[in-house]
Amino acid sequence: MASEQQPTLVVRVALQPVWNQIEPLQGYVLAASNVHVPTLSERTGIVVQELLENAVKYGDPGRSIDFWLQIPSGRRGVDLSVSNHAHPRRVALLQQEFEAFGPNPKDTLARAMQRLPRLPQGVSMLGLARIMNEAAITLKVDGRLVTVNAAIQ
Amino acid sequence: MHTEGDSVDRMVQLRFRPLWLYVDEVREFCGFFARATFRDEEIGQRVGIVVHELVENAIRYGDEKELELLLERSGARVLISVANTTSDERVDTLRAYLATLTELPPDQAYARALQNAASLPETQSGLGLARIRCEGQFDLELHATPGRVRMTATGAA
Amino acid sequence: MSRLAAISALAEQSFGIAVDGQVVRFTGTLSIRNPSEVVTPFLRRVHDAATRDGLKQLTVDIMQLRFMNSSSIRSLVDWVEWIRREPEGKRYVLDFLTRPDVLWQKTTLTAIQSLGGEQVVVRRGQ
Repeated sequence: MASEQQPTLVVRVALQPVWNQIEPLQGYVLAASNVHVPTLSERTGIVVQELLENAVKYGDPGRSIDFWLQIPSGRRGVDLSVSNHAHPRRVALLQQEFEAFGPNPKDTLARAMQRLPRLPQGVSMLGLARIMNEAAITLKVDGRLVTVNAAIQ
Repeated sequence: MHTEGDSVDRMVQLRFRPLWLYVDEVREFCGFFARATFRDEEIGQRVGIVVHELVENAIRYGDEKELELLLERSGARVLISVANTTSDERVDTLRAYLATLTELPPDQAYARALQNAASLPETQSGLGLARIRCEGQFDLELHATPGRVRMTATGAA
Repeated sequence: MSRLAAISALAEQSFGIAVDGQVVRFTGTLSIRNPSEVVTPFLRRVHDAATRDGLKQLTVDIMQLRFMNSSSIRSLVDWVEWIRREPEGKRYVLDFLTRPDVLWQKTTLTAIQSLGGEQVVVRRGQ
């Protein structure tokens, strides 16, 4: 625990995929990141909210979600990841979304907005597009385990 | 304490600088988390109380360098531990105080602590750990290595 | 005008204590680092005013107080102690109004009632 290189903040939570777990965790992350990286806290809050919402909505309701966030010491940034298990169809859909991302996050979000009217009620699929505008994100798939890593700077 | 053989599931790990402004946020989060996880209002409140008092003590009496909080489940037990860096003198004081506290059942120890509170210097209450045992209904254990202390509170979910 | 009525409310970022007639009402979350510098002096003013006004009972409404840290509980203990040290004719009863669904209110106020004897009553609000 007593190393000079220890990150400023670490949050690691194994949360159940229930909606009411999101807000308290997001609230803590917002407050904590506001202390150390105030210029990044709002974006961090958005990314955390969207990733957790996706994990709750589309993940396996019987398996916990692994949330990890770190504010490193010595550099201004926030690193986080959300891992959850999901049905193979969902995993494939997620991979498709990632592959469809263009180089410009704003264009990606605009395209996602344009397709909204074609989607069923209650479905927006805006989350990832929105996150892309706030963070650099990558997707890792290992069978049914999906991990989205995000770096906010 | 939890039964030997029960696996320990780590549910929450928080590591942060022991700043006062975190205390309420950490309490609120852990309390909500416990309530949602165990689907029980009372455990949420008890965890909130225990987390608050452990974190507050670590901030007040630690050396303001590092603090780690763990919220874990083992069988039907909840384990909350707070580790922080501190002076060895502080560890000795804490160990002696805990030994006195655990001489009595939790409710009697809390009553005694309340009686003694008014005779302490104004800035001290001496109530935190007694409150964890009585109000939180958690048992307390102290582990220490040079310069570091970990207080672990264990209670029924 | 009663001395108690002249006491202005204590309004901090996370909590408040206000005097309304013979009711002292706590709201918010009382978890500040040094309540001995903020809360205790306020309660002392309330106590001094209550004794000078010759009150026999003061209601302490904590139904809207979500949480109180142990340092702040010390302020309540001090309050009870000030009352107990007054001559019998000047003592008054602290009548705590609590929420039955808030665990810390039940446990801590029960313990304070044991401390305060007949100077402390604990009631459950609706």
